[in-house]
Parts: sequence; structure tokens; C-alpha cells
Amino acid sequence: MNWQSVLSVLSYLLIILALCLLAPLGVAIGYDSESPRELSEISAFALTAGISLILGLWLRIKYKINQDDIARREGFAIVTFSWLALVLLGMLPYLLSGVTTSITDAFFETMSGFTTTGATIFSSPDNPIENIPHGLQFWRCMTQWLGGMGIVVLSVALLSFLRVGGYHLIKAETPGGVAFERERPRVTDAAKELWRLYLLLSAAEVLLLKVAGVSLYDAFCHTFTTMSTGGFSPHTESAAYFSPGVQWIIIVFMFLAGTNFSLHNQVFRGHILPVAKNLEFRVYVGILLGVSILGVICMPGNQSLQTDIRNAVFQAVAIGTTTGYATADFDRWPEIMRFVMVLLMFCGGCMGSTGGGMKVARMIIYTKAFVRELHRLIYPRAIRPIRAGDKVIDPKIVANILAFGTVYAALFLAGTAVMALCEYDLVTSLSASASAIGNIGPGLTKVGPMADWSHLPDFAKWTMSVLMLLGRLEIFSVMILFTPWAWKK
Amino acid sequence: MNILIVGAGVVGESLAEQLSSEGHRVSVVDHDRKKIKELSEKLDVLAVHGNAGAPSVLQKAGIRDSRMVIAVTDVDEVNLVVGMLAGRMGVKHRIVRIRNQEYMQDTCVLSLQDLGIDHVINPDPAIVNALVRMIEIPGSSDFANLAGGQVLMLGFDIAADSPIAGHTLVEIRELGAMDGFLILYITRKDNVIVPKGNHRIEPGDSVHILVSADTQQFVPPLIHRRPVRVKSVIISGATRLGLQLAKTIQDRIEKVFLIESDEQAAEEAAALLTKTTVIQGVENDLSVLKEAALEKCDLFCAVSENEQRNMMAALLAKKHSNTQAAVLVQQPDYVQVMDSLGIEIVLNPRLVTVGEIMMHVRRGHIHSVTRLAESRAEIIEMEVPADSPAVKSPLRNLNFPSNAILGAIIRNGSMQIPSGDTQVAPGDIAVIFALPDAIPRIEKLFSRRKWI
Repeated sequence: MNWQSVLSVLSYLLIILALCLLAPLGVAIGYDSESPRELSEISAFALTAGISLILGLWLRIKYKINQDDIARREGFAIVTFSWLALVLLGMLPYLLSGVTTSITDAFFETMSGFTTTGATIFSSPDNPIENIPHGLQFWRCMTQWLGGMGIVVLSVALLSFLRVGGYHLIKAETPGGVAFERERPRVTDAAKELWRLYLLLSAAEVLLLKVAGVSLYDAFCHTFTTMSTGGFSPHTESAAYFSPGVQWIIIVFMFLAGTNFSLHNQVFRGHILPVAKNLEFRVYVGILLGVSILGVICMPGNQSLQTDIRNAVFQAVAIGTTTGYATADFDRWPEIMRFVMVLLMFCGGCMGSTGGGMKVARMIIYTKAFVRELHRLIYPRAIRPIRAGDKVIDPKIVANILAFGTVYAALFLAGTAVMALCEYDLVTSLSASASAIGNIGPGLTKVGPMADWSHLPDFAKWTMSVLMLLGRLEIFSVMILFTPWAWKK
Repeated sequence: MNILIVGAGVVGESLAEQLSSEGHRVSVVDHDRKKIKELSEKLDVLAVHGNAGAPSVLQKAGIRDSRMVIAVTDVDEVNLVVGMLAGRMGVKHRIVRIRNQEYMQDTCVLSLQDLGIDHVINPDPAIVNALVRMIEIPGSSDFANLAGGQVLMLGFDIAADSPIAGHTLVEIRELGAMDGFLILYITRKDNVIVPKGNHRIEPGDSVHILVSADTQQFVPPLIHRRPVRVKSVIISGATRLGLQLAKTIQDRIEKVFLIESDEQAAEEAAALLTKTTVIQGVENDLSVLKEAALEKCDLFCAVSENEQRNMMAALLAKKHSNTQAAVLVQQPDYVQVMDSLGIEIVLNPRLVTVGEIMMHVRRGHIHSVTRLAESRAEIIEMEVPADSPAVKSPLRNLNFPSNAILGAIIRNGSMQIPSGDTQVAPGDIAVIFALPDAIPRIEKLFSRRKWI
């Protein structure tokens, strides 16, 4: 492990974080800075920005980067430690402004933000999110936006000197890192392209929400948490606060955020046909449509059909893309629908999207691998490669994906065990664990869409926070640091 | 600039590394899946797996956005096809490596213009030429033409009885021996040293000097007390390079032997070469070497395609005679070993090819860049731009980096060895040697960045 380079890249990240913190600082100043509560918020942001800037500059001066030193090992270390550093600094505004005094709560909320989970401590009918000052709410949503496309990807886009080191960083951070495929000669260009698309789609959503009559502040906050498939909302009612038209706009953008960004790229270049033919995309659309239709059929019938359709589609897309907004309490839906919602949490969005979960592409490969095993029983000598479209997937990647599934399941069970140990019922335990590792947000019963997570004991909150990080960085990047191979020369 | 390299062999990989580190957007195509995977983990390039002759593969690698295509696969014909396709797809610069001379002759039915290829690279003539010059200049173990042949760079291994061994550079200058040439750099046990006045030249060092072409004949006696005149040469391997070498030197050298193990190739060689004795046999068999009069051999050139066999044959030959050895090596990793094996001359087509191609990439005021095999040091030859900081004051005031040396300037067609008072003028050709840490400063002084 080359610490010089790890800390040097970290220094740039801290400087970027300091710059990002200027946005909520501006918001806090913009909203009435008379009240003492807002004043303590302004100083909290200024202080946090100052700390990360000074820390960043200090590391920057102390450690020099050598881009040849960033190889696989350093890539994993940089990504995992960057995320920890971001969360540790990002939680300071909550603590310094006095919104909470619990380090556990601040850590949980920030981790839930950066990992785009959306599980929250601060938002239930008894304890409405509106109690929290504007700047802090803005920061809460912004952490999701930064975490969505990945702040490490952002730094690769900005720091062109990283070169091939950037490749190892992106591979370690992006969901679907196994499948990260370059279409551009330089990694920094690929990262720039991703962020450009992300910015473009975000700008489009802000504009549409504004046109649909949402206030600029809400438009920004909701864009941040839609495009990142995060799910935080500055309203306790979540997206149900808005008119049906606005909800449809949010549905569209949740759907786009859960789609592989390289498909967006192809559409922008005018290649529609390959997108329509993409198997993962088709299955993704199929799953969301299927769950929506099932939802309409099962919906308890005391509303108009129009409302039923909107609610069913919204819930299916919100959970399927792992955003985790709610406009209806799906916890009160029939049992089969509650079960389908939990299943959706495992499935998640597409590879290369901002969505979490295990990803649709992996599900397809699991199915194909299973069919292959059946086939092998009758034709033991047959060579039957697993394909994605007309391309054969490297058997090593297939093996990696199968291992991923096993570990994912094991971690999900471990999370459930911790929740059960804290005396929660099984439905809560299972759904909370699935929701945390899949970066979704709400679960069922006590962590359902209309409840929050503040009642969890500290031990469970820390466990869930770790699960979120493991889920966001797709397990391996974090786990590798607990092996001797990452450290030995 | 977007550059597409076809063929990820030793040359392709070296080019990809160098070009991408200079900020170009590089794509590489190769049919070897493992190689592609390795490249994409090692370099910041787009590595695409596939048959290079297939338009779809080239398109996937972004040929339509490329301004330059460099075809350096092992097969001439594939390179030709890539060059043709690139021409049709509107790529501006098409550089193709073709090693079969027949394609380049006037009698060829298809001219390269017909095929849409604007530059052909072939390392063989340059290597043959360098070897011939090394044979002609007694005692030299490296040779390169600079400034269109006006300036030569020569390498010498310093023997214990050399007139300059044990003297500092200042002393050598006082002897009056250094008027006509300049010591550019010294290689001592894998370390490259930029010489200063108080550095002492030790036996076992290898020195590289710059000398004007018209005075080069005065140099060897200054460095070697008894320079060996090459009278008998053994070439092992009837490869294209071996044949060309034999054909060029057989008229100038008393005795030339060519050893080739393949019977058919040996017979063809014998038909082609009238004054060369062709021996059919395995080159690392001592009895075969003895048949080629090994004990009288002055230079043993191992140029077969198999570099391990080249090395073994050269070591065997050196063990049983006093010959000098020249060995053809492609693998960058092997080049570094050669010196410790005591092999005097390393022939490295990779460096020659990369050098030639880099000249085309760095159009503009840079004429050539040669990267040393052992380190990342560079010999840069360039025309000094009028707006660069270097022309503003005499050398001593320039804050010239200590790990670099301005070896020569060519003004109005004559070579000058610069001193502290020299002021570089716009339009001069400068030859600079720089260690890696000095290169950025040199770039600033001569404002190279703008031109890339």
C-alpha cells in the first residue's frame, strides 16, 4: 500500500468537499439568517468547510502524488477511506448546528445520504423534517447527489493527472464496477462524460419541476435525491406533498436515474435501436411494469383508478430504482405486495446507474447460470458461455457475480440477525436489512415508508450504516481492506 | 490528438505508454485478449480486443475520431489493410510498419499512394546502417544520426588502458582532446550520469559523445589506444535484418559468415549472398560456431527472431573468442540485462521504430526524441522556437537544470559545442540530453508543450 498517494488523492477530495459545502452555506445565509438557529447553522457550515479545506491543503502539501503508484490496492483503499472521510466530515454540520447531539445519529444520517440510501432519523410525523433548518436540509439532499454518481468519479473527472490510477478508482467505486467499460481512450474523459450526463439530467429535472410549480428550493432538493436514487425529501410526506403532475415528473426521472448511464449516452448520440434491444434495460422495464400492474390489481379499492395507477407506478419505480420515496403507505398493502416490494429491494436498478440493490444485470446472469447448470446435467461436455447481448461474459466475471450474490445474501442475513437481536420483529428486521444493504430507504412495519429509523438502538444504527457502505461500494472494495492481501507488499 | 494504435506488441505498447503519458487520447487494438486486459489495467488507454483487419473492430476503437492511425502488428499485410481502411475512413495521418522491402520498391505493382498510406516505418535499414557505422568506427558500441546526419552520437566502452580513463572532464579538456566533441552522458552500472567538469571517467564506464560528422574520424584514437578494426563478422539468423546486413557489409569486410538453422532459409540466403559463407546449423552449437572461424571473429551479430537464442549464442561466442557481440533484443526487460552479461551492442528495433514514429507525432519544432532503454532519459533534438524563454539570455543565466545538458547547437549548418556564454538563437537546432526529472524544465525553457 502506498500511503503517500492514497492521502494525496484524499487531499483533493477534501478540497472538493469544502467547495461543495459552500452551496448549503449559501442557502443557509439566503434563508432568514436572523434567527439564532439559522445562525448556528451558518457557523456550522463555515466551520466544516474550513476544517476540510485546511485538512485538504495540509495533506496536499505534505504528500505528493505519483500517479504510477495508484494500482488496484491503492484504488480500493482510496475509495473506501474517501467515503469514510466524507461521511465523518459531512456529519459535522448536523452536530455543530445542534440538530442532534448523537454522533451515531449524525453518522447514520450522513452515511444514509452519501450512499443514497435515504433511511432517515429526522423525518416522522411526530418529529417532522420541517423542524430542521433549510441549509441543513439542502446539505442532507446534496450528500445524496454527490454520492449518487460518486464523488470519486467526480474527482477523476476533475483530476486528469490521475490517468490509469483513475481507472482503478472508478472500478472500485461505481456500482457495477465489474462491468465498467471504457468507451473513451482517457478515463478522465469517461468520468467527465458521466458527470456531464448527470448534470444535464439534473438540470432538466430542476427545470421541469420549476415549470410544474414546485418552489426552486424543493426543485433542487428533490432533483438531488431523485437523480441519485436517494430518497431524502425536505417534506415529511415525501413526494406525496406534491401534485400528481409533479409526481409523474419524479417517476420519469427516477426511472432514468435507475437506467445504465451508457444507454443515456447512446441515446444522446442518436443510437436508439441498441438501447431498445438491450436485455438488461428490457428486463428492468418489464419488472417495473409487472410490479405496477400487480399493484393496481391488489390496491385496496377506495380511490379512483387514476390515483391507484399513479400510486402503484410510483411505489414500484421508487423501490425498484432504490430511490425510496413514498406517496402511499405500501406497508398497508396486501401481504403479497409487501413481499414483492422486498423482492424489488434485492433486484435494484441497472448496472452503471446510480441505483443500488444487486442490479438487474446480475439477476439475469444468476438466471442464465442456473439454466446453464440444468443444461449441464444432460450435456456435461457442452460449452455454453453466458452472454450479454451477443457478447460473451468472461467466466471470471460470472464467477465474481456469483460470489457477490452469496456474500450479499450473507450480509443481508447478518444485518437481519443484528436487528432481531435488538428485539425487532422478523418483518422489520428482514426489510430493514434488505433496505440498508440495497441503499433503498424505507422497509416495512417499524421502518416502513411512513416511519423513521430513529428508534433503532445505537448498535443497530452502526450495523445498518456499515451495510449501507458495503452495499454502495458493492462489497468487495470494502471487504478487500480486511484481508492480508491488501496490505502485504 | 486521438491516436489509434493497431497491434499491441512491444512497439505498440511502448508507443501507447509514451503517447498517453504525453496527453494524447490513445486507443489500442489487438487480437490477444490477455494482452488487451493487461494494457487496460496498466495504461490510460482504450484497449479493444478484436481482429485488426475488421472495420467494425476499428470503429469500436474510435477510428472515425482519430487523427492518426499507427499500424504495427507483426504482419505486414494486416498493417497494409489497416492503413487502407484508415484512408477510406478519413484518418489524416496513416503510419504503417512494413518490413518487407518489396512493397517499397518502384517495381511494386501497387504503390503506397494507391494504398492510401502516407508514412512507412521500417526499423531494419536504420539498424543495418547503425551496425555498419559501428563496424566502420573502430571501438564504437552505439551510433545514431542527429540533425540529418551532421552530428553523430557515438557510444564507447572505456577500457582500462583508454587515454581518457581516470581523468576528470576538466583534465581531458586541458589535454586539448575535447575540442571536437562533447561527452553527452556516462553510463555507469545502470546509472545514467550527466557529466560535470569534476566527474572522473572510470574504466568500465560507457560514454556517449556528440561529434560533428566531418571530424568523427579523430575521435576513436582519443578513446581507445588500440581500436580493433573489424575484419571478420559472424551473423547468426538469416532473417530480413540478417540478410540485409550481410548484403551491405560483404563488400567491405574481409570475411562474413551467416549461420542459419533452417535448411531452406539457408539455401535461399546462399543464393542471394555471393560473397558470404552461409553455414547451415544451429547457432548455439559450438562446433557450428567453430566452423564459422569463431576464433578470428571480431563481431558476432545475433539477429534471429528468437531473442533467448540470440543471447545464448552471443554468450557462447564470447566465451570462446575475443569477439564483440551485437544482440537483437525486443523485450524491454531483457535490454537491461545485456550490459551485465558483457554484451557490447544491443540492437533494439523497438526503440528505433518508436523513435521514428514519435518523430511523426511530434511534428513542429521537435525533430526527434530518443528514449534511452535503461532509464527514461531522453535525447531531444529540436528547432528552437523564436518565442521560447531559452533565446532570451546566455546559457549561464537560464537556470538550466543540472540533470540535463545542451550538447550541441547546429547553426547555419555547422555544429557548435555550447559554453556558458553561448546564447541560443531562434532557428538553431539544439541537441539536449535530459534525465526524467529535468524534462519538465526543459519543456518550459523551449516551450515544447504548446506544440504537442
